[in-house]
Amino acid sequence: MKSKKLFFLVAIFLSLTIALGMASAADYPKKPIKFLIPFGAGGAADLMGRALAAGTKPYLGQPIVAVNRPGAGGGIMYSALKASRRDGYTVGWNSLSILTSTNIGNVPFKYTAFDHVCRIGYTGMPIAVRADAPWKTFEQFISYAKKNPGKIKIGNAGTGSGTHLTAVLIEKEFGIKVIHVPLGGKRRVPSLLGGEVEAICVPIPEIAPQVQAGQARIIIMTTAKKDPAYPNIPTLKEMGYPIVMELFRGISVPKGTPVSIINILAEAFRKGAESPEFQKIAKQKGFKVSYMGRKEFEAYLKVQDASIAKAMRLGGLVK
Amino acid sequence: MHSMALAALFEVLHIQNLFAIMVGVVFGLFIGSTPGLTISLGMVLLLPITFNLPPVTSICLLLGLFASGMTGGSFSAILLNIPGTPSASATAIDGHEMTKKGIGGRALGTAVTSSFFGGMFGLVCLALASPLIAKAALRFGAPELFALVLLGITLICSFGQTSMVKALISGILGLIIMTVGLDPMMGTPRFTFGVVELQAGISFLPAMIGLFAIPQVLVGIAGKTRVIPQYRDKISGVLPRIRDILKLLKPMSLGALVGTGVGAIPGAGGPIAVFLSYDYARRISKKSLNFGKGEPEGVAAPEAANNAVAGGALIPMLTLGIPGDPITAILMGALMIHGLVPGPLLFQQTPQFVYSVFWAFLFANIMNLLISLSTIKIWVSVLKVPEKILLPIIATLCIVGTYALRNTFFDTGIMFCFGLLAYFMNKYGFPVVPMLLAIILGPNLEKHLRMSLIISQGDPSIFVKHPISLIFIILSAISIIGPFLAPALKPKRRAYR
Repeated sequence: MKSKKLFFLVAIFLSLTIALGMASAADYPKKPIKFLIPFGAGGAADLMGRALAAGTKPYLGQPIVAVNRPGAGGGIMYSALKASRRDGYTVGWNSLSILTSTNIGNVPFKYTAFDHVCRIGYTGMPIAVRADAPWKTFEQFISYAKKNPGKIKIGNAGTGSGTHLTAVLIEKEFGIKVIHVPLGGKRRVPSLLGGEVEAICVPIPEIAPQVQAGQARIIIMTTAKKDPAYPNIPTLKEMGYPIVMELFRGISVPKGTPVSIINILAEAFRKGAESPEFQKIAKQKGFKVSYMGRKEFEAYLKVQDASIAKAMRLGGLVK
Repeated sequence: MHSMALAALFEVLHIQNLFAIMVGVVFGLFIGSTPGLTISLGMVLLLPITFNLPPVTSICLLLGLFASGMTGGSFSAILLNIPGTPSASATAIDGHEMTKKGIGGRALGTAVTSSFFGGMFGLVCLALASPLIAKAALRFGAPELFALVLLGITLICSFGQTSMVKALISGILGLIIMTVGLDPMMGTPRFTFGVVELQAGISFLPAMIGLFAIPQVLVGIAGKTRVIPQYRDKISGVLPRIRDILKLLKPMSLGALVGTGVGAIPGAGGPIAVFLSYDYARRISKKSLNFGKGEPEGVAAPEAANNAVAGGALIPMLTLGIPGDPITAILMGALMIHGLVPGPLLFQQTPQFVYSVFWAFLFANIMNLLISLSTIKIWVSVLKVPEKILLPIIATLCIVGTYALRNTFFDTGIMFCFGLLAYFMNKYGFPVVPMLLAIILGPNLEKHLRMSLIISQGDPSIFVKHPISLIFIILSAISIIGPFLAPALKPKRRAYR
């Protein structure tokens, strides 16, 4: 008698759970969505993320609440995202940091611990030198570095960051020896202009004002495609070198989120990326809006991850 | 040129722009006085509004917030001994002592006037000597910054009047705590014991709130002594007399000078400016023995400094297009949204806009002075609230503030740990300010030290070969040896009398 009652209760409970689970996909979203940002208030990731959240809100019909979870190069946010429920009410605003923070081994999972909704676009991370530097082209820069091993210092945002790894890949590809200086975000441009380092690897928007003012020059692009704003600057890829590094940004959710929910999110964020709110800030931050769907983004991440892992090995950051 | 400056003046005087400044100032006072709510967070909240405003109105709104946020931080520092912003932590030392003496109104008045003085000084430097200062600021590389921060750290010795050993223990403990987190150069975890949350390091805001506010609440709960100073019916001296201001001219000028200079150096930060100016104000003061016991000069110097930092920070942003801190980075972003790219070209292409920025900053400071002075009585009346109501409110603010910082209760836990630590430190006579100093400056000290050594490839002579760095290192040495020499010199002086 008792066991029959228990069985009955379990059956009701299970059917309720299933019914609720199905309902969540059908009338998703029915409450506000948490939008985790891996960096602090005021940075590029934060401002763009908040603008995207605002621009996407009308297409989901629910508020998208930006929540900063900075720290550990993004590791804190990705850990929090991984631990949240697979119901589509917590989404992560990812970036290249989803590959760097996981590959360096500070968190015990890889980028494959998530389902990836879509890529929104990317920013280039070129190499820049002072305007009065003796090297007019990238080739001259490399040949000087070859003749003077250990003389060139290249600044980056921090050891293991995308800008550092880009410089490592260039160093190993061309067989030169440079000193990597982890200047950090605030100090890299002043250090370049002040003459402390010879070159920096830097996201385009930070160096663009200096280029326009004639204080600095970009000598090489590291994106897959040429930047129309800098038609004379070649990319490493078109020069025949297998280096592509892009500071991409997109959306990830905890692994196992229903595909129907992922599709709803992907469609909403695609439209959100076209909203005037987001377009405005994307333009200012030198961010190329270039949408990729779920499958395409997964394939893109796989290639980028392999190249990050390679750079980490070459740079001696992982064994 | 003059016509353009005049046109810019009329533009800023437009009612809509003055209103924007006012909104910014009021919002900034609120943000600044609430522990845990930072000026950069306030700016991020206002930023989306600026997208749809004309550029001059946007900058008016944001500069209003920037100018008053620094002042607002000192209000809670003076009245409740809880610095609203890190840059107000030096103000708490003497400001709160003044409140205890029952002259909290006068302390606030001094803070507001000094803020105004500092802000105006920063503005004059910005308007007249921008290119020159910006050029000098660029000479601050890693070794120079290391030496500057080292000088800041040596101030620990200045807080060891009662016991040098206890001050050093407090400071070194702070330095050790700050090694928790990701190694700043290598990116590998240190002392995190497998806790991912600790990889972000110990953020200094929860530490600061814990060190200052929690012991007060704990002592208050014990109920034996009153921790919030009694409200005195007669609030005298709120409006500072000219005579008093003139007396404070020396510490204010010192603070303004240090604030503008340090503010202009990208990545140096406001807290170091306020502590340096506090310490040097004490050294040059005739009343140096009163410092720490409620000396108005100890409020004037750091308050002038932290508002001058605002003007200083605008210098590299406007002239070079380099934002030195998160606040100016957001300001720069707001300008770029409107197609205005800060940097040398801004002065050539849109000089009228640059004048508008100067005027807007001027009016932001004036508005800040007027609004702050006229609301001092309201602020002081916080002390009228009975302790049993006020203390829970403070505790709630601390919890909400530390949570809001990074949206995690982990930081709230950190705050309580520091609170408990500070409670026992107070009980056994260990000063907490050295620990705070170490926590704020420690990460920069390590970062710039190691960065310099990477640049010099391990050669420590880089610190003495660079002249600016050498000067700061000599000053640091004086700072360390000074307190030991002072007792030896004093008896002689007495003998003369």
